[in-house]
Amino acid sequence: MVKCNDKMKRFIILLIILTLSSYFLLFIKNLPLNYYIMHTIFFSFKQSILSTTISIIVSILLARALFRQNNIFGYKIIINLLSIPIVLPTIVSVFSIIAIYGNQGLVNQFSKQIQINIYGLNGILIAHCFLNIPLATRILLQHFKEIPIENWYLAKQLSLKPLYIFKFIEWPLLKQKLPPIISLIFLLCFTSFTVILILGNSPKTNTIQVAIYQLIHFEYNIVNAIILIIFQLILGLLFFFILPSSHITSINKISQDFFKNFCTINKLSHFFDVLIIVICLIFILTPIICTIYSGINTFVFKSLLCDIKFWYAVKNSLIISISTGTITVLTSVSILLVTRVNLDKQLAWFQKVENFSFIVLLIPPITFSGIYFILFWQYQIPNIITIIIINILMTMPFVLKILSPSIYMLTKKYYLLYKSLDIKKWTKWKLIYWPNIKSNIILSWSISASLSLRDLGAVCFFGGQSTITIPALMYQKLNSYNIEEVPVIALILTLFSLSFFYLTYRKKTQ
Amino acid sequence: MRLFVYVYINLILLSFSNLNCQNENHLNVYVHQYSALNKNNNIKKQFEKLNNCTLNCMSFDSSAALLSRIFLEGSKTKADIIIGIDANHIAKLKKINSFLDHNIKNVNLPITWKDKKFIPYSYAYLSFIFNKKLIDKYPKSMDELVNNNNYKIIIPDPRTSTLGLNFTLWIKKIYKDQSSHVWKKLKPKILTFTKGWGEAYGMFMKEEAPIVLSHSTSPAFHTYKKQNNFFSVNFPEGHYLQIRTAAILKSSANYELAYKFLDFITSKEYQKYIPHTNWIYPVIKLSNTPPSGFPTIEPKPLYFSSEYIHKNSPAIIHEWLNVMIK
Repeated sequence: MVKCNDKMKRFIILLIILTLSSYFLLFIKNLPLNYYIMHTIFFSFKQSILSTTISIIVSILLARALFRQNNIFGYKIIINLLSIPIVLPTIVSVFSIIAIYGNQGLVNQFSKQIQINIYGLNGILIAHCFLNIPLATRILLQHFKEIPIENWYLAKQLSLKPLYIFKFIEWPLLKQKLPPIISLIFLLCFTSFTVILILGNSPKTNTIQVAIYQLIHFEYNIVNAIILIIFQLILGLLFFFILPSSHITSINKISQDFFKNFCTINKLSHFFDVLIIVICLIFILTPIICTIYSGINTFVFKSLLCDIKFWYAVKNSLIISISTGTITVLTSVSILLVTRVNLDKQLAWFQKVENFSFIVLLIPPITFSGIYFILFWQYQIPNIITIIIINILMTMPFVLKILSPSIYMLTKKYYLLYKSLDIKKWTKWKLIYWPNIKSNIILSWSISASLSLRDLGAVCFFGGQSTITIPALMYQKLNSYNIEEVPVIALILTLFSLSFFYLTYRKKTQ
Repeated sequence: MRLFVYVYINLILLSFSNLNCQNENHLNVYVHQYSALNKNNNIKKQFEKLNNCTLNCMSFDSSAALLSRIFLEGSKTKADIIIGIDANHIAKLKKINSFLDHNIKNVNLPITWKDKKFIPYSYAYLSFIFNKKLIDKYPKSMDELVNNNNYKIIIPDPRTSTLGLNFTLWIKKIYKDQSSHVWKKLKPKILTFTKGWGEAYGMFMKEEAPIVLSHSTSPAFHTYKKQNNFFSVNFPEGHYLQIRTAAILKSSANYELAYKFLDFITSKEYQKYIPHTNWIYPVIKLSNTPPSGFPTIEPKPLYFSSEYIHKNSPAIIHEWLNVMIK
């Protein structure tokens, strides 16, 4: 818990560092306009803060509703459906959002009075909410399960009203768990690139990321680009120092039947919960259904199956995603086994070091690939291996974030036991960690594989004819006049990502 | 689980089987992915058979990506030939790398081609494409588009797309000093600036806006697909010319083969594929009538020299940025 004057101190440090880093920007020479750069930075912050606020508020409500209504029809399916926006390529999501909310979209066609103009800040907010609410909800839902059962018993005993339940039971948990989630979503919104480029309608709605991309790829002004990247890094690092890191408290998991047996929720709360779930489902599912619907085109599908380039793309995508998933999981598990398994060597700063891996999020794949290329081009590493390495670095933060709490909790629970029995390393892994972590490892594998499957940045840079992947093929079709094939390829990509997730669903129910 | 491991190993082995046994005689070609060489495998095989060599083609998704790759690789580049460089970037490229003089004499361009090192192999006019379903009164000249038009336009961003950059040059060529006023007038009419031509055209096909910036020959593709509600109009002020060029790098290892390749690109065997694969004009006269579906009259060409663009394009873009930011 952060005390009041501590918060003030952190806030003042934040302001000082911000002003100092803006002086740093003055080193940029030949920038078009200082006004332009200031405006870009201001807009980056504005859209990230707005998107983060809306996403977090909605996901708190949704996670709470899902947590309490865990016995509604199709609960497991809903949870899995929430994962779909995370694995779709951004360009597919943006196009499907345009198809629904755009000028010729469903919404504008049905309601003639309310015309939504999606191009501009509104569209960016809608797209960011669509992409981030599922992620935040999934993380928060897992955290809700860490509320000690005793608190719920007490609430039942004292017959607490819902408002007081929130104030005394749920809010303390949220206060601890929210800061990392807020920083993650803020960074995702801050560095989002495709969304801003397509839905932002002018340089007025440009962010730092667009400016960096433009400097590297179009003006070849590597110096200025690096200065902007460093600025973005400093901003990101601030978050890790300013926001307090979360502490892992409880190791009890609430059972699914708990609410059915022990907690009665009054009818009004029940109604609002279901309403929120339905609204969010409609918001998230309609673009996905739109993607699927526009992708069903058997004629194009047949012509795709005859195209050998398509099969090369499928082969390459599968190799890249499976390799990335496996190697990322193996590396992360090895790292965590070294750092998290010994309680006496626990250092408080390690939590922060783990969060550092999220710095990778600050440099999206396109920029990262560019820098990687400049540094390592002479060594002639084959393209596929380069793409795999970049994807591993991109997905490692997520995998670490999923596996680390579980491994830490298990260590806390069993440390004294296996120290006293003097259990050696391999048996420790086989008996204690593996059975409990299995589902989490498979989940993180599937997330890593799906994220690398949908990646467009690294492939754009290092791909060529021989290392074409499915998203690159889709992009190629978009840029030549084969626009009808794009929805079909998008659908195929979605199906591949979903099949990776199906692996986890099946394992969990076994 | 085991099945999974077997599948994985098989896929890896499959990937290694993809490696070609390289012929002694080979050319490394950096090509724009949009070009016919990349889209049609037969052309590549035809050249390889004719000259008993292998062509290693590396494709890039835009002229800018190709250029940035050459820039980043610098003098250690492995490319022998680059194809698909937009004529705007010639002066910039010449400063980075050195190229051989070509020996191609006759190309059929609307303007006289003076450069000795870069040879054009296709060209197109920038133009606006209109959707008949969504628009009833269409502008017949650039002045009308700027002043009287109420419909939204989709344009690629000049900073990330060559087409967008060419559009700013077009406005500059027509209006010279008044271009910032023109941008102010155009600003509310532009729906969005997209990253590249593909996204812009994709949105146009989804009927998000009735007007999009593309080439004057784009409706030919739609006529071919029997979609008859797209058309483009020739503006009397003229249309900007977008020229795609190719060149041989001085660091190439195989000059003879490279010259043969340049000859091949500007010959009938290659150029006959261009109209109906890329939907732009070839640089040799294939027949007396324009290719089927293409407009019968070519508009008036407008063009800046590449040295002028190299010197002034930062200023032109800053002017555009200045208006769009406020």
